[in-house]
Amino acid sequence: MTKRLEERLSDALDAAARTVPDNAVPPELFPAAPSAERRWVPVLAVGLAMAAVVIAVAIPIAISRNKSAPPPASVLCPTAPAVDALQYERREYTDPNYAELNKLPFGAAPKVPFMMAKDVDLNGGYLEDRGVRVPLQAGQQVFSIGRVECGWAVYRQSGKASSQVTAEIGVLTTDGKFRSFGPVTDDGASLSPDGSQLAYVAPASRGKAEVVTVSVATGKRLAATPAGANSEVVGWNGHGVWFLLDRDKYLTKVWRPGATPITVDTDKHQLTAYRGTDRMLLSDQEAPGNNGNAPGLCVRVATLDTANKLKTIQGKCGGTAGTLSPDGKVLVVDIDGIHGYLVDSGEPTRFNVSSMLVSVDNEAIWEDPTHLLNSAGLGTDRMVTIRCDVLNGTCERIQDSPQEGAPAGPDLGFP
Amino acid sequence: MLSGGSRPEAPPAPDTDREAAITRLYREQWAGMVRLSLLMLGDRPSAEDAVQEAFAAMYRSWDKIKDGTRVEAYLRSAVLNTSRSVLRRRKLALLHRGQPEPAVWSAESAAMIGEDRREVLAALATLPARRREVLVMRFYLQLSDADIAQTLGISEVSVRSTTSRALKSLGHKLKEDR
Repeated sequence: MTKRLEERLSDALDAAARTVPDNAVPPELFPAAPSAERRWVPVLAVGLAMAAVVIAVAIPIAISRNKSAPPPASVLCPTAPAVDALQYERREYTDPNYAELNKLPFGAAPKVPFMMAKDVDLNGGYLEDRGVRVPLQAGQQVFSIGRVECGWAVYRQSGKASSQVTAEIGVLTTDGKFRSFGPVTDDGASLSPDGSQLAYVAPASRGKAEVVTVSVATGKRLAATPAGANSEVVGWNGHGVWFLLDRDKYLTKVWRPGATPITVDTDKHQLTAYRGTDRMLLSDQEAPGNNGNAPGLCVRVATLDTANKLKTIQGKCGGTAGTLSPDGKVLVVDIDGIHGYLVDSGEPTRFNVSSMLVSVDNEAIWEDPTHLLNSAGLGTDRMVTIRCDVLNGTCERIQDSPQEGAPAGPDLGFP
Repeated sequence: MLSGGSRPEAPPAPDTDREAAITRLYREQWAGMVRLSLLMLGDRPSAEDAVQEAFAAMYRSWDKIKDGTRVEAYLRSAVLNTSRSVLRRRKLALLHRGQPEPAVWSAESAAMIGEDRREVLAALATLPARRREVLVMRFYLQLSDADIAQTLGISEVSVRSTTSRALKSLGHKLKEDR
């Protein structure tokens, strides 16, 4: 059977690769002059003139997890000009490969900040959160890192082509104004547990970077520690800011701003920290061990002891992908399907669905401690957003539409 | 194996014409690298952009490549890194939503590559990036454990265990999909 699978895989990969013909003509590597009409971007030429960190299409990965967020708008918050709501599609499909998905009922709008736009060029876009809609300029994209007073900490990106993209981090207020804290790399950010500060990887001179903390209210830089081009902020909890000095080597540090970062051994797992709990997720394990006899790949929930060692309080083996609820009480793993477990007891919840239906990883977005949101292309031309209750196992569709030709969104952000 | 080519020549010593060397490498390896990226990303425009970014990264790091026999592995690694970045950006939908163009595993590509192949590729696309990379390098590039380990910067034991688990997971998904 494995032999047959390997043959099928080789055959499929070869067939897909052959869609790039041998006589395909590459674009010029060193174009004489940039042409606005070319689809591809002369990254190399631009790269010579720009800082490497910025050129690399700085698209952020948000790692913020919410504990207690203020409302995005109240009578005390300024308001933005009215913007018409766009309706995301709720199309019924009959694709037999996704019969389970086709049967799910449609449910309410996301209860996290999300972005909508009329089209993929991001015309008529806005950020919506709990009924508040803030219009965005055409071509502009924002991604919520978390709610702050009268607004959201966001990544904001403008420009379509790689050479024109600018990515900044800052606060979008309910009146639609953006206060920039400066450029960011594509390497994570997190609000502090009390929501007053933001930590992220900021590009520094000569291709270097540093992890910085800034005041959300003023944008003033409060602390910084040296990092590398491959660093990533992976959360902020009661122990401090967690970051990977080198994401490829899982070299993990916890940093109390103002102090020296401390190295924490994660046993070659990706660590993810959450604002609302000191329980942390260890996932995406790289290797079972050098001797090959170590336990299989596992997803774990751990806490930090007084000697700065991680102590596993729950773990499930047989897979490497998972997510932890923002209160640290439910672990969801991808082990021959998507399953939920109570962290305290290890008992399974009733959440048990196909991994073709829902995908989970350490950056999954939770609406609240029991509702997991998921957007996926399903490997087809269909885009679907799903909400699942990880305790009782029920799921519903929020949106289901073709990837092309429908309004863009909802693009989910962190609450 | 990689189409387009023979093993590239060793990088020149510092202060020689790196543009010429990279241009030659680009001509030899472009199509093969686009195919590699395509298998990770699904569509050719995104793959071409990722390969451009990889060559940009390679240009910047040219002086650091001490071992000329590793140029191809370095390039492969750069292409996989930039492809992984694209996947990450897509996942968070901070770029334009969805595929810029239909993926080779989309329903509309079935006529081009066949339904059975499309199913395999669609299932492959649901695996975590690292597992997909290992399978692509093993079953498309037909690299050895050692070469895969070198490209990904992991141990050969990890390559074997990741391959085994990826195949198991792929088989499971294909069974589920029917």
